[in-house]
Amino acid sequence: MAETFELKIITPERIMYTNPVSRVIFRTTEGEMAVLKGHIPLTAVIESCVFHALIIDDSGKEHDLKMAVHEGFVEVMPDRVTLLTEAAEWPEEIDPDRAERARDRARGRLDSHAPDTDMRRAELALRRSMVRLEAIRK
Amino acid sequence: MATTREIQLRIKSVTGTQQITKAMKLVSTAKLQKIRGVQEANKPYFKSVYETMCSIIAASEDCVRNSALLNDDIKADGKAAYLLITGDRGLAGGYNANICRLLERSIEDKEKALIVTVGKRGREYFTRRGYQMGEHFEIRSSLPNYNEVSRIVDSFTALKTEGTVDTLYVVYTAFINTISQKPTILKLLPISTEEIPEPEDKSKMSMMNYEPDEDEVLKYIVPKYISGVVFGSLAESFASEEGARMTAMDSATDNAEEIVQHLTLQYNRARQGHITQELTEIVNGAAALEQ
Repeated sequence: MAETFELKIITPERIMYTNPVSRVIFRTTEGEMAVLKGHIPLTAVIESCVFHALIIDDSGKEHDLKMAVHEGFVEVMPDRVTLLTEAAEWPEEIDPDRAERARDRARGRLDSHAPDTDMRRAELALRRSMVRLEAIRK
Repeated sequence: MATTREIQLRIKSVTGTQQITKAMKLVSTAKLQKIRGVQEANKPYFKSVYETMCSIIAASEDCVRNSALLNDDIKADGKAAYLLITGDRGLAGGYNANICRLLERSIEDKEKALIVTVGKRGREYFTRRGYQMGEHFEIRSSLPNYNEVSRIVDSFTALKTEGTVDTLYVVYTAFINTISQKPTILKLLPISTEEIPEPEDKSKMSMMNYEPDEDEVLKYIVPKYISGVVFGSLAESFASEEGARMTAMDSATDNAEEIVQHLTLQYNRARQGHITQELTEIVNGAAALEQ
């Protein structure tokens, strides 16, 4: 059984999650990364991604806990991980229709190449909606 | 002396006003509770962001100099921008007037001040007095949310990064309690390094690695910190507005009560006088008939 460490997810609106987990996986600006207990201290900027946390229940079975996280940064210490993000959603909080509509809208904006579209914003919107859809996929 | 009918009408209208002020007070109380909840929920996030920023700045002074947001070079001739937070509506006691007066008094040179506003009241006040006005932001909901805050922060900090102004201030009303609020001017940028507290845990600081590197993390984290400060000031201002309105409406309700009491007294007097007069007339009439 893997050793566990404390995971804390904090958003401006609430403390979303605080519990021991055995592993977390997320995507930093430099690439995907997994953290186990005893990691060296690290502060990293993360991108919009699906954040995975492996929790171990009483019977020793591992569960994959998923959530959509939209930009933030993560502070890793040997015995705890703190994720600070402006927005994070549990899969059950995501409205699939809305996410799909947002994705199509963002794609449309990117394809239109209109001079007044803010490309960066459209790209970020596309990223966010795709992350949401990925999070709710079983 | 006013007739009984006139007095009755006035009592009715004052009672109507009293009902409105009472309702407004209740609404403000409820809103205040909600805002306090948002403020509480935001605290752990802001505290962590602030601590991380402090430990990066303490670890390396260079990144402060490299950062467009943090350096204190004077490029724009000492110009300053003020983010003034007021309400959209009145009937909140001295809430809007106090904050506007504080800012007006603290600006020494009209030419070097640029005023960015949240809330209609502050904008009207300074436009009328011929100040240089920047952008205006409307917050539709009664609770500040991070989306709107980052919109404000992006364009407000752009003033500094683009070199339009050198210093950024936030002018807001600090919430002390429901009956006392304090208008405050807070310097947002540049952050002076002396103000940054030394981290308690030095070993943590030197061991920390940054990905991609300190500068990048700092570049990401400073706007978050500013958003946090602006969010906090907005929440405090909103709480103050509701607090001020609550107090104002409470005393308005008390006043109305007093007026109604006074009018009722007048009404009773007039009614009594009227009856007495009628009685006298009847008695006199009867006496005249007997003779």
